[in-house]
Amino acid sequence: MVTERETIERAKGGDSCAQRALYEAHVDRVYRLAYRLAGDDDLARDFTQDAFIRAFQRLGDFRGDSAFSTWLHAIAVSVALNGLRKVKRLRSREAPIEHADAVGSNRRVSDPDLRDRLAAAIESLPEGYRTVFVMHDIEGFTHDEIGAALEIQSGTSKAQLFRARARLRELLSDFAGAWIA
Amino acid sequence: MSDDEKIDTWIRDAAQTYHQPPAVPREAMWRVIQGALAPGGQSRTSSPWRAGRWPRILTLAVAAGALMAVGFQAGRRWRVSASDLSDAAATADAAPDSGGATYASAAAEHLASTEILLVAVRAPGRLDSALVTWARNLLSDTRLLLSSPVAADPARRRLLEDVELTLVELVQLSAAGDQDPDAARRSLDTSGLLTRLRTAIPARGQT
Repeated sequence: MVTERETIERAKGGDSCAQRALYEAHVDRVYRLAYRLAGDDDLARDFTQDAFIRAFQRLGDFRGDSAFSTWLHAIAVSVALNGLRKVKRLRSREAPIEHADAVGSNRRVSDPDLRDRLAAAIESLPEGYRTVFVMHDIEGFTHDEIGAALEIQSGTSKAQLFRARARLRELLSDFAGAWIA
Repeated sequence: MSDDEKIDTWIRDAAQTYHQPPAVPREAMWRVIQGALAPGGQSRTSSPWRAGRWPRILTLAVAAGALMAVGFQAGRRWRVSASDLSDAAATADAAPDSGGATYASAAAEHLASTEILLVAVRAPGRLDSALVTWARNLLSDTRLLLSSPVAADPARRRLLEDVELTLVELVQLSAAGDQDPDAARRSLDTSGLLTRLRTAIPARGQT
């Protein structure tokens, strides 16, 4: 079977079938991650498209020291986080106060409310914690993959996940306490 | 398991609903990427989160126009072609209502994507792992379409069933460790599937 490396070499030469094959092999994971981070289809599409465009334009720089997926995910995360920062600056992040109130509430409520509270709690995490939590606990990336994508040590990824989980436990203590009781 | 670990597990499970992604819009995104990579294509890197909105609107408009053209051309082709008379009759009988437009659009995109894959499979060389992954994804989509209203059209159903068989063959070839795609190529040549796909999607074939 032709290896991915051979496909990459063909894609470097501008072979559109090879580019399409690489796209098909990786687009699901890139789009899913972009959507999880952005929570918006338009943004997720833009981030995904831009990540692939950049990747194909810079494919000549890919030396194969790491897996292609690792290299691509690093581009995708960078595009998504930079894009979200721009969006955040422009929108000045709608409704953080309502979210904060909801997170601090001690009401015991139904599942739809749990989803809102959980979403608000995740949104309230610092960017680094949130990114690691989304990548590891929701999308199943390993700490090594996260480290490579975010250009941090895998130990740092573990530490950020530990802090993210602790913060979420604290924010959702009333729900969680009732659940384990 | 400690209480903290139990809570972490509970949060992790509940968090699967956080920004739950919809189906991946593969074809729509690929068209934008292709456009940007084409010589003279517009660079989108300066404003990634904003620049895609207008091109997508234009893409949708073009896609809608292309779909109408496909329908018109296909209608004419099917009417005048004696060999496809039975297909044309079946298509006319099963003409989708306006609610079926979404499915028809999805089917057109799917068939265009399948054509590209099969062209890649026919190219000289051994089967690529990425191509097999792509074939597997298309196989899932084919089965979804076979369960959808587009399969009510007998001609389209036959085409989708043949596509399914070919994709199954490709995926099984890889699963069996037989990496030589010659059998799949021969099967493609004898079935005339590529020609039928191109006939079903003439406008896409020209873009």
